[in-house]
Amino acid sequence: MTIYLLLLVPLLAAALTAFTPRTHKTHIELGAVGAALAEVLLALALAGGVLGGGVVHASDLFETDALGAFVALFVSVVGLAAALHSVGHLREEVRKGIIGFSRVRQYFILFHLFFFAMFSAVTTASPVLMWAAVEATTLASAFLITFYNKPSALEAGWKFLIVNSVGLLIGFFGTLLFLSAAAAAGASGPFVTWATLQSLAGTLDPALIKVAFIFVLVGFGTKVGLVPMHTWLPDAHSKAPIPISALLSGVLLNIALIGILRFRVIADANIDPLFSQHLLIGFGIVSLVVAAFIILVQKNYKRLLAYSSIEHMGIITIGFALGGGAAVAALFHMLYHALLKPVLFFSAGNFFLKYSSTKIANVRGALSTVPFSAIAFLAAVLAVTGAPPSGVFFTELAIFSAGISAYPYVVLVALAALFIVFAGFMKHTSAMVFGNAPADIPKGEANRWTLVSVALLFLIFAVTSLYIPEALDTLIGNAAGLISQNI
Amino acid sequence: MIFGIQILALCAGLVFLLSLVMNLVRKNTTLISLYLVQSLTVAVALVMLSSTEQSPSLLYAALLTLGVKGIMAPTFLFRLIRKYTAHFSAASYLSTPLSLIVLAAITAFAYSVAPALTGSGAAAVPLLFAAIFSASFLMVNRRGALSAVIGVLALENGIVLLSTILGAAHTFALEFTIGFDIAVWIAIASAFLTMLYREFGMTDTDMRMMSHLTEE
Repeated sequence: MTIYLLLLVPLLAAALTAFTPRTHKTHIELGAVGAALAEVLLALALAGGVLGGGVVHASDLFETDALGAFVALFVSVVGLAAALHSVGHLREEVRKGIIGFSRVRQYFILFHLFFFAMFSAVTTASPVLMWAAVEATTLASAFLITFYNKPSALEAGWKFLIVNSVGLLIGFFGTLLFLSAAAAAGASGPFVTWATLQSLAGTLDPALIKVAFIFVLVGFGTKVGLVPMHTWLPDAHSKAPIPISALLSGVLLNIALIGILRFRVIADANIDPLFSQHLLIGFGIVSLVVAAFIILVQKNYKRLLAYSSIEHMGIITIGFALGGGAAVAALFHMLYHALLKPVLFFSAGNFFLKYSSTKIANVRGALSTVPFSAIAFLAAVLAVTGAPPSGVFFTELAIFSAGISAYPYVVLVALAALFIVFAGFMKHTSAMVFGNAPADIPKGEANRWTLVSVALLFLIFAVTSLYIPEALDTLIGNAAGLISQNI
Repeated sequence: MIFGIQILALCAGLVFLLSLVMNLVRKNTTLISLYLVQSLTVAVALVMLSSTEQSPSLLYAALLTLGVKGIMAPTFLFRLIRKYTAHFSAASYLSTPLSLIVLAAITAFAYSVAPALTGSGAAAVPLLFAAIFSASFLMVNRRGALSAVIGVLALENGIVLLSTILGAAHTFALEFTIGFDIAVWIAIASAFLTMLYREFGMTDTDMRMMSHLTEE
């Protein structure tokens, strides 16, 4: 029941938004925040159910384990912050005459559908439905990326649609190859579930599974933003409205990564786990290194944050590749990144509302014009680049400590890349935050909504960096157990 | 049974051939027509499988394929062509002879890797691998956005038929999911093509388009 409610709430919210008349714009905003709040409560209930019984079963098609519940939980929390920020951000854009009521309504309809697709992806028991849901996230978010109807946004949306569709078709082929192997091993029924695939894992054709996993990794890896399939990501993340950039970066990438991890469990039970480990480490380290160098020379702060997401997906992928304690750390890293990246995007969005530019060179003296956002941005930059006592520092330490004995050169390269990332971020951030602001920039934050979202997520991040509630620790431990059981 | 396998191999051969020809034609209407024929071929293959496996669900899947890929997609795309007739580019980066050389290499590569990759000795498998690679080549070699859309759809045709022959995608529920997804994708891609045309007055992906995504 909880799963169905979690899926129903965004759908219902989208339908209600579609029929809201022009005179009731506030209802759309309150509906978005209310739906997001309900989703947080339902995700909490789902996590509670999983902690109590291992798996929350709704039907043959929908059930949630610890991994699904964990992802649903942070998706919903970031969703609440994004809903709050969207209200403030769009109000400001309406005030400036950039958009009108119909665009606001369109935005929130797609916003809710985007969440419906994401929740479907993490709560389904079927690999095919998961693929369809991940594809649905592409379709829902493509129009959000082109929201401003600017030529560059349109191009970014088109690139996002085509590159991700091709990537996901490759992932779909991999999915079907897994199902083909399962069919040959005796699986039947309209939808083969993850559980069925796992139960048959030992009897599947190993040659086919190897090929299938490569296709899944490349296909879903495109959506994760792993280099070299990342080309859509900086464009899409930099052209979308700020709250959507935060969602794309903070939560969407993780959903596709979960798909890879679920297939990996099956592959590892069938073939030598080193096969998937080497592939994941390879993609992870390349993503980390490429992103590090581009961060250093970046000129646009939204693209800077987009490349930072590629970097963190690389780190998380390496963590999952190593398994065991590193997988636990990777899940914590996923959580911290999901909380921090929206803080960075939201603060950057407040810079944009003030400076009307996404060029790093055009943002100077933010500390004097938007002090709250500037401090939040600086603190989040320090945290996301792994400065202690940020949780990111500990997760990176745990991941690379776990890998130092087996892959010393990889760890050395990764540490060098992290140093470059830190240097790059410090260079850009100090230029934006400190110094003298241009005389024509008025002082003061845009509105309270855009501050609440930043404060909410940063507070959760700070608390979970220093104190991890036992229930969350257990949930993440159980989730890590599910994805690294064969390593 | 043997007759069914031969028909399947024939369908796979036709899908491959159509993918090759798609790379060589220069008219968008022909390109859509070729996609239409390719989709009908996939539907016929599903009907054949349904009869050999005595599976009514595959028959429904064939009907769905016919509806979505044989009727809906071509209708959407033909309507776009009629609306913006002279403005959709079908130009390619490589000349026809060079394209042919690349396609020959792609086919040879498909034949060399397909048996090892899938462990299947079926004649249709390398043909469909070659069809998939050719559809991918269509996407990267053409300048027009419409060709990219057809490339994605042709790629999907190849993947579905290959998976079906390899033993997956044998249920209506699965085919329904795929069909629904493709239907939504086509609607969105068509909307994007319209937006691209309205914004740029053309849909070339290398000229005026894709020139705004440089560093600001």
